[in-house]
Amino acid sequence: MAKREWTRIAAAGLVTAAVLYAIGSGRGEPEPPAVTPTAIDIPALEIKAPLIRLGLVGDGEVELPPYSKPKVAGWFELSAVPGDGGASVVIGHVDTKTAPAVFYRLKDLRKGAVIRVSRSDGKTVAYRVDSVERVHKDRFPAKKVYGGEGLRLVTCGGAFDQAKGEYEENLIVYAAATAPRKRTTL
Amino acid sequence: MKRARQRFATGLVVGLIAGVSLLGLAAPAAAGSQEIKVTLTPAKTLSGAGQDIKITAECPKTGDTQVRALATSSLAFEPVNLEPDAENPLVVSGVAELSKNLVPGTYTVNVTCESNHTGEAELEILGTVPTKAPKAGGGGTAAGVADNDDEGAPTLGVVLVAGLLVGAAVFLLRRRGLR
Repeated sequence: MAKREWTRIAAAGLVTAAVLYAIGSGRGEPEPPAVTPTAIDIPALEIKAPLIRLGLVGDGEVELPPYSKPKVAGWFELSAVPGDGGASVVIGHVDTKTAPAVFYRLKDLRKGAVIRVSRSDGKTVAYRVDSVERVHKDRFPAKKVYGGEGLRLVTCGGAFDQAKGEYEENLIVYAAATAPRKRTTL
Repeated sequence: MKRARQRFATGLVVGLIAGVSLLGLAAPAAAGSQEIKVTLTPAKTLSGAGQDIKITAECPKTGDTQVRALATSSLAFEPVNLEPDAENPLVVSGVAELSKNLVPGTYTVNVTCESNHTGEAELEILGTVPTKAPKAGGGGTAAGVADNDDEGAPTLGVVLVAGLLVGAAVFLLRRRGLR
């Protein structure tokens, strides 16, 4: 009878411990919803545009914002979320078939200009332009644009090839995140 | 009575110890249990972008002893030594070059400090870098594109004028014919 008592008591202890562990480990942190950038603001060019998400279409090609919404730019959703480290890529049309589009004046952006990106979690990330590059499509610097650190704004430029129906060049703006400091008047 | 109570108490303690020991063995398998914090910057990237990953680990210091660590990831990159970080005295850091042609997915990065403390973090390869240049423009504002109408299709104005001329000609000819 004593043995049975012991067994029961030991079992009770074991069960208690197991229950406590289950409660403790079950209380995991819930996954926060994925953060996405929602808008871009370029004061020097008076551009304030919403950002949609762009995926990959077929063979190594990034989806483009629709021409029906020429004032909208897009964030490539496989690139870094602005503010999280890594390279964040934003693409916008320079024009449609008939009129200027969101990034029409991107070529006027100069080094030092401020760019702000708003995020779905309420944060705003500030950047300063490092450089602006014009490059022929055949020499698009994929590694430089999709790798490294900072914001990249991509549009088209140069001569328009009527036969192909596309621009011959890309215009790329590289910007580095600025650490949050006291406000500086521009 | 006293003995029964004693036995009860002892049994409870034995049971608890047994339970906790078992759980102690199971602990390493529990998600998120690690001794030191490991951070990857960036933690998500694309394969084929030539992206380097900065790895930082909060290895515990022992007085003035220089602590170092080793970061490994069986497939994502070659082992990297983590040295005291120039900017942050509390961590050791290093930079890993990602292997070429990494298959998209999640890779575990393991860090072991010289003090034998360990930690891990997850690296996500979201996809392969897009190779094609984005075609971000319709050409409507490009120099030399003066006429935005389709070539060969007459404009409305031209059609109207032509129509008027034809109509006038028919009218005049009829008048002549009727006489």
